[in-house]
Amino acid sequence: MKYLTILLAIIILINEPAYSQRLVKGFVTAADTQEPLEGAVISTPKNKVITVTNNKGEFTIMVYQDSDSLGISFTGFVTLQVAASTQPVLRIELQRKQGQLGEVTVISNGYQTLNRARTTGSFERIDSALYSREVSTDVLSRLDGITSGLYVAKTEENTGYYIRGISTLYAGTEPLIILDNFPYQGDINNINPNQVQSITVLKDAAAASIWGARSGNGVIVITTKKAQYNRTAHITVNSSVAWQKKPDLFYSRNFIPSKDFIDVEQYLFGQGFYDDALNDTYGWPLISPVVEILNRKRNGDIPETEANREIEALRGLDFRKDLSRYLYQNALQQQYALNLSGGTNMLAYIFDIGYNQNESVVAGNGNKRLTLHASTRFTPFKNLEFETETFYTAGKNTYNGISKIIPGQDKFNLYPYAQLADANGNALPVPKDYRMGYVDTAGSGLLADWLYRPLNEIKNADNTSVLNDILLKASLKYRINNGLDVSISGQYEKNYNPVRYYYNSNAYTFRNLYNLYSYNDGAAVTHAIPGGGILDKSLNVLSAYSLRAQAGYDKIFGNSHITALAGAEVQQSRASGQLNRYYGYDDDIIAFSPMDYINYYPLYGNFGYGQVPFHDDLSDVVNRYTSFYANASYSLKNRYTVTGSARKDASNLFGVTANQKGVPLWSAGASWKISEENFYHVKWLPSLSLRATYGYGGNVRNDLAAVPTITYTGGDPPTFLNSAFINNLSNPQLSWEKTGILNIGLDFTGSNGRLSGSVEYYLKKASNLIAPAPIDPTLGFDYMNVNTAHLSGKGIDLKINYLVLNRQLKWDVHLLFNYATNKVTKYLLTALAVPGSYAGYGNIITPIEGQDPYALISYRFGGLDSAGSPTGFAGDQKSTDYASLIYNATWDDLAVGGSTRPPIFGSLLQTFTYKHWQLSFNVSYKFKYWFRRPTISYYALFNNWTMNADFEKRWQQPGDENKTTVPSMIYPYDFFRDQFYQLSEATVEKGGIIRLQDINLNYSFPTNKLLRNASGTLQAYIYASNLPVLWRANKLGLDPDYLELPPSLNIAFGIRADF
Amino acid sequence: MILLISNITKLTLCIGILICFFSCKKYLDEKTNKKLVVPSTLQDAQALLDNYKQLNLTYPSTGQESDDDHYLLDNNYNALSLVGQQVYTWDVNAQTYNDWSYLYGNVLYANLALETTENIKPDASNINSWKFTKGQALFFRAFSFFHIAEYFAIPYNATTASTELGIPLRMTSDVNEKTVRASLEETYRQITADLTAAASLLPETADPVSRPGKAAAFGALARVYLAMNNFVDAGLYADSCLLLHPVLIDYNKLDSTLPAPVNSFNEEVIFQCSTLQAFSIYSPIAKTDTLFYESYANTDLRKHIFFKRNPDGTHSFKGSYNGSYRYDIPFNGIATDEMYLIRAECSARAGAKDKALNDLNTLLQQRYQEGTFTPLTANNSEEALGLILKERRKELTGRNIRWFDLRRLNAEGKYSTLLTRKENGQIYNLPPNDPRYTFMVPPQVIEMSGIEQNVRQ
Repeated sequence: MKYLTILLAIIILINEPAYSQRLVKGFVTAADTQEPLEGAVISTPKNKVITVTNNKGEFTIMVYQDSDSLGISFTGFVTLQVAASTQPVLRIELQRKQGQLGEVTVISNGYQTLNRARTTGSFERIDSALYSREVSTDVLSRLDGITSGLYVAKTEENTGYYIRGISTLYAGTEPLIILDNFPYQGDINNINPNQVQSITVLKDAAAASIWGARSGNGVIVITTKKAQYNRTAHITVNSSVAWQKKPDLFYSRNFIPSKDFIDVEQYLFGQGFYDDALNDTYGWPLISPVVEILNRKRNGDIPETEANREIEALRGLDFRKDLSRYLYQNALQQQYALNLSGGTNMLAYIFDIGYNQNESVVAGNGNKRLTLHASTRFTPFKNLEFETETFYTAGKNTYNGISKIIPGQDKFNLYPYAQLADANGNALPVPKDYRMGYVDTAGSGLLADWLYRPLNEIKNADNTSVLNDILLKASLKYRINNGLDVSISGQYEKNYNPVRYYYNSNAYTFRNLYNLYSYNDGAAVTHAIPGGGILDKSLNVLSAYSLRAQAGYDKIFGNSHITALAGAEVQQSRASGQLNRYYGYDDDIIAFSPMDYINYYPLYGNFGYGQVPFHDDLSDVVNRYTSFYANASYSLKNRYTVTGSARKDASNLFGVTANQKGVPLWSAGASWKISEENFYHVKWLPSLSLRATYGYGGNVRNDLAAVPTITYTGGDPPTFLNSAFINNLSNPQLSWEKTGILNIGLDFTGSNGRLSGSVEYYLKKASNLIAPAPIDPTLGFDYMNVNTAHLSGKGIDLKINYLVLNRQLKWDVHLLFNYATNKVTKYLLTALAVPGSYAGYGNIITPIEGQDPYALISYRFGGLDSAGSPTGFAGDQKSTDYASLIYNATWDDLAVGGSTRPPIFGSLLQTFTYKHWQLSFNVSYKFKYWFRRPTISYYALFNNWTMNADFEKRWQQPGDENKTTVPSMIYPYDFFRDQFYQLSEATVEKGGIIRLQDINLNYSFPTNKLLRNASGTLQAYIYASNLPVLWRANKLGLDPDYLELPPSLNIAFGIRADF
Repeated sequence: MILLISNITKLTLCIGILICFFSCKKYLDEKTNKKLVVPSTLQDAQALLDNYKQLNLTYPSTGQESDDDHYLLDNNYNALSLVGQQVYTWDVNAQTYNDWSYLYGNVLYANLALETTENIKPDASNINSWKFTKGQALFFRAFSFFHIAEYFAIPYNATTASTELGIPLRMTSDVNEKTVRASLEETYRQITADLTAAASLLPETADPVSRPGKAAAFGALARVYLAMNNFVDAGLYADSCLLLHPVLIDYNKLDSTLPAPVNSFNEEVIFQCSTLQAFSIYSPIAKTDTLFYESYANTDLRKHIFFKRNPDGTHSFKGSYNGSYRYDIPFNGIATDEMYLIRAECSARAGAKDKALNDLNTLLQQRYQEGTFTPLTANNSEEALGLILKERRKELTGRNIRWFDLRRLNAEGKYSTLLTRKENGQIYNLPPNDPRYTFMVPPQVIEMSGIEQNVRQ
C-alpha cells in the first residue's frame, strides 16, 4: 500500500440540475484514522463564505458558481482545494502533515471540543497511537513517561499523579478525573484502557479553571471511543498475554545473613538481654528458635553438643529462598478486548467488551474484570442529536496471598533462618503473637491448634472484593441556528463493592480469637467465641449523579471567529458503607451466632479479661455541588486569540455561611501566531506562536466545618454507651483554597514539519490553604484548621518532536523535559514544633516555612568517633548526647537537604520504523533529588528483628571510622543513638535515575493480502516493562522508587486487528 | 452580534432557572457526613459526656510517676525516653503539655455539653434527664479544674489563696474568650460551686459509674475539701457519700493469683476513670519500694492482691481498680475505701478518735485474711491520725493519690517527706514544699495566651 499523499475525494454521481447558486453538503474526515474532523474550515474563493464542520465532520456551504472550488483547511493537515461538484454529499479526506502524527488539533476540556489553534491554555493531549503503545489494565499508569508536566510517584504501596508539582497541603493532591464530560466518582481503575480514545491533561488556569473549585491540582480528561456517523462497520480486536517474573527478594537491603544474625543473638543471650522475655509468663513475648535453644542449653534441658549442632544447622538457612518459593510466583496476565463500531448518517454505534484475568506475583492474589461499554448517537432529524453511553464493570479481586510475614507483638519481621516448609513441602509454623513454646502446649490439647503456618494460611484464606459498577450517560443537543446550540446532559453512576474476609475454623485469625477467649476451669474449657468461623463482611456503595444544561455558540464573521459557552450543573455523590462481623459463621448454611459484646470474659493464660471484639460500623457521606460557568474565545485572522472563563461553585461545605460557600474562579488568556505576521520571515521555523494565561483553580476540603460538630461513635467498650466526640471548634472564617497560575508558552514547527514542539513556563501561587495552625491548648484543642498556609511553585515543560530520519528507515524522537519545584511560603505550625522532629524520610508532605514540602531534613553528621559512635553537632561542638541532639537541635544543627521529589524529570521516546516493523523504547529520567536509605538500628535489630545490610559495614575495630559511617553495635543499645544515625546526613543518598521504561516491538502485516477490507490493519506486538535501571546516582544499586521490592520484569505478547 | 449574545444570555438564563431549581438553599444544606452533628439535643450532650476515652481516660498520671511508692533500676531508667527520665527525676523541664491539653479538652467537652443543655428549655417530660445531663457536665468541668489546680497551681492555703495564682477557668466553648489565670481562691470557689450544684442535680447513683451520680459529686467534694485542708467539710461530704454508697469488697473473695485480681467497675467504685499512660513507670519496670512493700503484714491480703513478685525478687504493682495490672495507667476515680479513709482522717483531726478508728477498722476488716485481723487501737487521736495516714498510703497505692497527699501533708509540716531517687549513681532530691510540686505551665500555652508562668527558683 503506497502512501496516500494527497486528498482523495470520493465522488458519488447523482444527476442534479445545475444552478448558479446552490447549497453544497459534505463531510470531512482524516485520511488515516477515518475520524470526522470537527472545526475544519471550508471556504469559497477569496473567503467570501466561510463555514466550519460540526462534530460529525459535516458542513453545508453556499456556492455561487458551478466552477467554484472549496478550500478545506485544518491545522496539522494539508490544505486542500476541491471542486464544488454537484454531488449531493462531498466526502473529503484530509491528509495529515508529515511529522505531525501525535500532534492533534482537537482537544477536549470536558465541556467542549476545542481547536488547538484557537486555545491559549496549557493542554497536553495523548492520542490513541501513543496511548495504546503501552500495555496495562488500568487507565492512568500509561500516562507515565509520555505526558509532559505529569510526575508519577510510584512506590511499592501506591501510585500518585502530580500535575506540575502540588497545589495544596492537605486537601489531596490528586488531579480531577473527567470521563467523557463528567467527573468520574468511582475508582478510575474500573475503566478498561482499550475503551480510551485519547486523554487531555489540563495544566494551567485557562485550561482547567472551567472545572472550578476542584481544578487546583490539574484535570485529566479521558475521552472514550465515540460512535461515528458515516462509517462502515469496524471490528477491532486487541488481545494480549503478559508474563511477569517473580520479584527478586534478594534485592532488598533489609537483610542480615543467618550466621551474623545468630551471632548477634548468641551475644545478646550472653548479656542477659532475653531474660526478661524468657521469664515473662504474662505477655509471652516472641522468642526466636536460636534463643530457645540457648535457653534450653542453659537450663540443662539439652546437652551443649546437641544445642550447638542445632544452631549450626540454622546458620546456613536463608528465609528469602522460602519466601520466594512459597509466597511469590511468576504471574500470567491476560487481556482481551473486542470493539464493534459503525454508523449511518442518522445512527452511529459503538460496542466494547473487555475481559482481564490477572495473577499477582504474590501467590494467591489476583483479579478478574469484565468491562462493557456501549454508546449510540442518533440524529432523528436535522440539528437534533441524542447520545447515550453505558459502562458496566464487574470485577473480583482475591487477597489470599501473604506478601510479608509479620510475627506480631513487637516483631515486624521474621528472623533470617525461618523456614516455611520442611523438606517434604509440609507447612511449618513460625512465631506469631505469642511465644511458640507457649502456644505449642497451651490448653494441653483442649484448645484448637494455636500455631501459625503461613503456607496453610494461604490455602485457608477466602478473601475477596467484588465490584459492580454501572455508569449511564445521556445527552440531547439541539442546534438552533447561526452557530447556536443548546444541550442537556446527565450521568448516573452506581458502584457496589462488597468485600468478604472469611476466616474458617482452620484460619489462624479464627483459631487465635477462639483460643484467647477460652477459659479452663479445670474440668472443661468454655469458649466465649463459638466454633465455626468468622466472617467480616463490608459493603461500600457509591451513587452519584450529575446534570448539566449548556448553551454554545460558534460562528465566523469574516476574519473573526467567536466561540462561547455557558452552562450550569448540579452534582451529588453519596458514599455509604457498612461493616459487619459474624461469629460462629457457617459458610454452607450461612448461619451465625448472636454474640455478647458487653460482658468481659477471661482470656486464656495470663491475659486478663476482654470483651469479644466488636467491628460493626456504618458510614454515609454526601457531597453536593452547584456550579455556573462560562467561557468565550475570540480569534482574529487566525492570528490573535483571546480567551476568558469564569466559574462559580458552591458546595454543601458543612456549616459555612452561604457567602463563603461559593468561590468564584476565573481565567484569561491570549495567543499570538507570530509567524502569520507580515514581518515574520524565519524560513526554518515557519510556524511560531506565543500564548500567555493567568487565572485561578481551587481545592475543596469537605471534611471540615465552621461550627462545632460532634460525631457519634456508637457504643465503645467498656461502657457501650452511645458516645460522641467533638470534631472541631467553631471556625466561622473557613473558606476554600485558591491557586493562581501564570502560564507562558511558545509553540513552534520547523520548515518541513519534521521538528515541532513547545516550551512552557509557569508560576503557581496557592493561597488560603487549609492547614492546622497551633492554638492555645487551653481552648481544648491543640490546633485548628484555618486558611493560613501559602505554597508557591514554578517550572518549565519542554516538549520536542523530531523526525530525525525519514527514508525507508524512519527515526522519530519525542523528548520531554520537565522542571517543577514547590516551596511552602507560609505555615504557622513550623514555629511551634521541635526542629529535630522534622528529620525524617521526606516521603509525605511536611510543610516547613521556606522549604520544599518534601525536603529531606537530617541531623548534621560529624563522622564516627574512635569508638565507632556517630557524632552530631550542637552548634559548632561535636556531640554524642543523642537525646539532646534530637530534642534540643536548632535549625542550625540540622541539614536541610533537597527534595525527595525530582525537580527535573522527563523522558526520551524513540521510534524506528522500517517497512512493516516498528521498534520503540522510552527512556525516562529523574535528576536532582534525594532519598534516605534505611539503615541498621540496633534497637530495632534486637527488639523487632528488623535487619539491614549496613550491619555488615558497621564499625568493628579502631580505624574503621575512616572507612565507614555505620556505627558500632553496642549493648545495651541506645535508642537515640540509632535514631540519630538513621536520620543523619550519613544516610542521605542521591536520587538520580535513568530508566529504560519500556520497549515495544510490533509488526504490521501487509493487510491487503490477509484481509479483504483494504483499510484494515493487523498488528502483532511484544511489549516489555519493568526493565533494568540504566543508571542510578547512588552507589548501592538501589532503585530510589522501590527500596524493598521493585516491580519485576513484565513481557506482553499481543495482537491487534482492525477490519 | 449583540443580538446573538443577548440570545445566549436569554438561553443561559433559562438554563439557570432550571439549575436554580436544584441550587436552592436547601440543596446545599445537606450534611456532607451524616456522622457530623451540630450538638443540639440532650441526647447529643449526653453522648459527649459518655465519651469514655475523653472524659474518663485522660487524667494525668504524672503525679503517680513522681511519687515515692516505686523506683526504677538503672537499666530500665536508661532505656526510657528523655521525657520519661525527666518526669521521673522531677526535672524542671518535665513535659506537662498533654496533662494540660487533655484536661482542658475535658473542660471543652463539659462546656459544650453544658451549653447544649442550657439551650434546651426543660419541661415535665425531660426535666430528669436535663438535670442529670447538666449535673454531669458541671461535675466533669469541676473534676477537671480540680486536677488542673492540683498540678499547675500551688497547694491551697486559705490565708493566701486570694492573692495566689490559680488556673484559667474556661466557662464557655467560645474560641474568642481570652485565657486568663484566676486567683487560687476563685479557682477553688468555682470547683466547689460546680460540684455542689452538680450534687443537687444528679440522681443518687448513676449507671454505669463512668457517669457521675450524687455520690460521686459528694466524693469529689470530700477530696477537694481535703486538698483545701477544710477537714470539717471534707468529713461531712465523705459521710454523705458513704450514706449513698457504703459497700466494701471483701478481699478474701478476690483471687490473688490472677494477673489482675481486681475488676474495674467493681462494687467499691463510685466513679470510674483513669489516666493517660505514664512516660516512665510501665509494668513491670516500676518496682515497688521495698520498705513500703514490707510494711504490709503477711496476712494483709493487699500484699498479694496489689503486688506480684518479679523473677529478680523485686515486686511490682498489679492490683489496679481499672481491672488491669498496669501501674502506668492508674485508677483515678472515686471509691468507697477512699471515703472511709477521708472520714476517718477528718474524725481524727476533729479529735473523735473512736469514730476514726471505727472507720479504719471497718475498712481493714475487709482487707485481711479472714480471722486474722485484730482491730487497731490508739491512745489518742493524734496517734490514730498517724495510723490512718499510714493505712491511707497502703490502701490507695497505685491510685494516683499519693502525690496529692504529699503536697498537702508537706504543706502541713508534721507529716512531710523528702523524696529521693538514685539513678546511675546520681542522687535526685525533692524536698518538701519544693516549687517542683507545682508543674510548669506548658511553654506553648504561655506563648499563645500570654498567661503567667509558675515560679521556679
